[in-house]
Order: sequence, then C-alpha cells, then structure tokens
Amino acid sequence: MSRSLTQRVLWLLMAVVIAMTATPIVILANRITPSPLGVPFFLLWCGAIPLLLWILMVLHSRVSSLEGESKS
Amino acid sequence: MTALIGISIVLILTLGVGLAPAFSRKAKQALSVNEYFLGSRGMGPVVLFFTSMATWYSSSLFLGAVAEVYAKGIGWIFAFTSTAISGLVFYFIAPRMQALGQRHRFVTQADFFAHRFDSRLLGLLVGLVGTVCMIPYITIQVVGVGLIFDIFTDGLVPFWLGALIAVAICALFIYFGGMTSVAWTDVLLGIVFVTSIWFVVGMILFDAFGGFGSFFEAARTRVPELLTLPGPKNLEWGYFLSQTWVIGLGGYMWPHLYMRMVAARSARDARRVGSLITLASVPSQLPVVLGALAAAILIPSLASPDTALISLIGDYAPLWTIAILGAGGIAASLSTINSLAHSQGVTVAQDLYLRLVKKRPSESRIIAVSRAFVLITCVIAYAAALTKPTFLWTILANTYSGVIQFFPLMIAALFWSKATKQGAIAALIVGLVTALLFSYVIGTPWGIVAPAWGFVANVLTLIVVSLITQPARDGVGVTTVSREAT
Repeated sequence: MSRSLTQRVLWLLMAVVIAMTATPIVILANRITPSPLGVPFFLLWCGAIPLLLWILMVLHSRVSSLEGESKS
Repeated sequence: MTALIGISIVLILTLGVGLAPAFSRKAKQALSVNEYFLGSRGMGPVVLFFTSMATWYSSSLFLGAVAEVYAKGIGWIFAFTSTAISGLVFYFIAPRMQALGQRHRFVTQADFFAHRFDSRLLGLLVGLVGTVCMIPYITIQVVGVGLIFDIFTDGLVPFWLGALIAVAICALFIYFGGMTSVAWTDVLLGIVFVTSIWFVVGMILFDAFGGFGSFFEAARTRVPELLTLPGPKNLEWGYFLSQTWVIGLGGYMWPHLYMRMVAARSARDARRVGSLITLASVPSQLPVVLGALAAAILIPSLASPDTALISLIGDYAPLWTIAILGAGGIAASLSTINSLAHSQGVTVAQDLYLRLVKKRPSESRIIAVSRAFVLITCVIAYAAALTKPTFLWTILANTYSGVIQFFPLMIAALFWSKATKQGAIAALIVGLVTALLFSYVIGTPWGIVAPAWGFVANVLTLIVVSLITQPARDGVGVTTVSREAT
C-alpha cells in the first residue's frame, strides 16, 4: 500500500468537503426539485454531505491502517 | 403536570448516574486531578462519542433551532454540514491531541499552546479567552433550561425555579464526581434526547400527515419558501457558508469539547469517534428540522416560535408525549450545562490559577480550586440567566468570535514548524479584535459572520508575523511537537 494512496484519499476528502460546502455548487443545489424519495433537493444535499464525508473518513482510516501494517 | 413527570424522571436519573462514580469510589481513595479533570484519560469510544455529541447539542438546538427553521426556513441546516466538518476536525486533530496529551500531560488547549510555543503568556491568553467565551454560552443554556421548565409545565415550575433546580443538580454531581460523572450523565442524556425527539416528531408526522412522503409533499406545496435559501427572511449565502465553516472549524476548539480529545483512552478511539460524529450529525438534528417544518405547515403565525414543537402536542400527538418531549428538552440542556460548568472549573484552575502561582499546589488544593470555580460559574450563569437574554442562537454564534481563533493556532502548532510564539500571540489578538470590530462596529458585509473575518485576519497575521520573527526555541517546543504530531 503506497503512502500516496492515503494522501490521495485525504485530498479527495478535502476536495469533496470544500466543493460541496464552499463553492457555487452549493448554490446550484439550492432547489426543491428534483425530490428523490420525496425529500426536497436542498435538504437531501445537506444531509448527503455528512454521509459522504463519513464514507471517505472510513476509507481514509482503512487505507492508512493498511499502510501502517505493510510498513511494520 | 404530565411533562413534570418526564422531566423529574430525567432529573432523578441524571443525579443518580452523576453521583454514582463519586460514591462507588472507595472512601479512602482520594480523587486525583487527572481523574477529576479528565476521567483518568480513560474514555472509551462509546462514552467519548456520547459525551462529545450530547455536549454539542444543547437548548440552542431544542429551542433556538426550532425557532430559526420555523421563522427563517431551512437555512439553519448549515448545522448538518458544520457538525460534519467538526467531526472531520476531531478525526484529524483528536488522535494527535490524545497522544501529545498523554505524553506531556496536557489538559487544556492552553497547556498545548504554552508548550508548543514556549510561552506562558500565550497559555494565559488562551485560558482567558476560553473562560470569557464560556460565560455567555453557559448562561444561555441555563436560560434554555429555565424556559423549558416554564413552557412544559405551563408555569407550574417557573423559569427561576427550573433554572435553579437544573444548575443545582449539575453543580452537585460535578462537585463530587468530576469528568467521569459528566461523561456518564452525557451518555444517559444523549440517548434520552435523540430517542425522545425522534419519537415525538415521528408521532406528529404520522398523525398529522400519515408519513414522511405526504409530509414532504405538504411542505413543498404549503411552505415552499422555507425549503430553499434565501427563505422568508432573506438569509444571505455569505451567512450560510461562513457560519458552516466557523462552527465546523471552531466547534471542537471550545475548551469543554477540546478536553474530550485529550480524555480519550487511545488515539484509535479518538479517530473512530471523529467519524461517528460526522455520521451522527444528520440523525440527531433532522427531527428538529422536521418538527419545525411541521409546525410551520400546521400552525403558522405562532407568536413565539421557540414553542413550535410543544404547540403541536395535543392536536397532533397524545398529551402524554409532552412528558417525553420535556425529558428530551431537559436532557439537551443539562448535557451541555454540566460539561461547560466542569470545564470552566478545570480551565480556571489549570490555565489561570496554576499559571499564576509560583509553586505547584497539592492535588487536593487544585481540585478544591476547580470545584470552587464550578460553583462560582454556576452562580454567575444562574444570576445572568435571570435577566433572560433573548435570541439564544445569535448569542451562541457570537461567542465563536473567540474560540474560532484557536483553530489556526492549532493547525500551525501541529503542522507548521515555522510558526512562532510572536505570530501566535499576534494572531490571537488581531483575530479577536477584528471579529469584535465586525461584530459590533463594522457589521457583516455580504452576510459573512464576524468570527469568519476574525479568522481570516488571524491566519494572515499568523503567517506574516511568524515569517518575520525567529522561532522561539529549537528543541522542546517548536520542532519536537511538530514532529511528534505528524
């Protein structure tokens, strides 16, 4: 497991959190429709961010621990 | 009367759980500073998660957030994202703080900064800023708990008495049990808060709308203005985005929340809890948003939006559910009051008292000072709460002007070896003054909140001053901690 993979996941994590919360993409997400499962889109967007971040954090944790194991 | 039963059960259980660690300790076994301040640095993932979460969610969520969504719409849901970002901060910083804390016996941020930058002055400043910021924070929590008593018991337990009961109970178990008592009561209160609010809001949604699908359909047709920005009160994007980041980055810089990082049993547990905080941000806050939207659809034009949730009970949920909702409200408030009061006692003893005395006092003396300040804090907060400051959420947001200033210092201390004590001190002062200027003199251009302006000024000052000053000392401070942290 290369160190660059951990770093790549880290950069992906940072890019996702910034893109979804601090760029004009947020403004584009500010709409009621489409409403998947009936949920207004903006509510779904804001609810999806924590879930996506959690998945990336778990991925980062796994990759970095695999890297640690391969080093030892 | 029904609500009083639910509230009383929570209060009795809280007192029991809070006092249990103190009384289960063997009589001759003296309480150590490490135990009183940090629960002997032995918090496992479950306790750490619940104490971090329950402390974060407060009466500001139960009353303030409901009022915000009811009156201004969904703009408040920046809280989902900001809590998720705070989990990310915890995920990356807490394992490092836990490891460094174990090695160097750090208790507060001030300890860490004073060691890293080799500056007693910086330690004092950080302790002072933290202490000052916590006073309004704890005050609004006491106001919240007094209001909850007053509203839920329909005046049977008036504001002053409800606030007094809550503060007295917290002071009692903190006095005897310290961090262990606080953490275990948080586990209880966190579970009570989340289950009670989901239960009651779920009942309301099914009773009034028949389920989530028809509820969202009703929201889309009857209150569409509440479902997007800018909402009925013209909320600016600058506010939404800056508040997301200020609370996200600054949340775990609060002294009471930072202390949970160093109280973790292991770095691995700390990291795991960081990811759980992110995951739990939606499930724990969504029912508040749904309940407030339901109230906006069903009972528009409420004079006091703080009471939106309770106003739905009776017509849309059985009357007995008021006991469950009341229990949840009290749980949200108590879980924050206890952590804040305990942390204030620790911060004053550790950051101010121990830094100002020349010879290190005995363990029992340090605990006595900390306990005294827990009691003093409770008295001050109670007295201030009797003035009933309004706009709970706004007051809380303004206190971030202080704590957000610790974040750039923390990142620089951990990852930038060129950061100097001069840079850190200047950054803290300039950031704080800038935030206060924007808060009270200049205003908030483009809706960007004052703490965000302070944050930018802090970062710029830290970089510029650090680059033009020499590192404080090679060896113990700068190089070692930066290397240990990475």
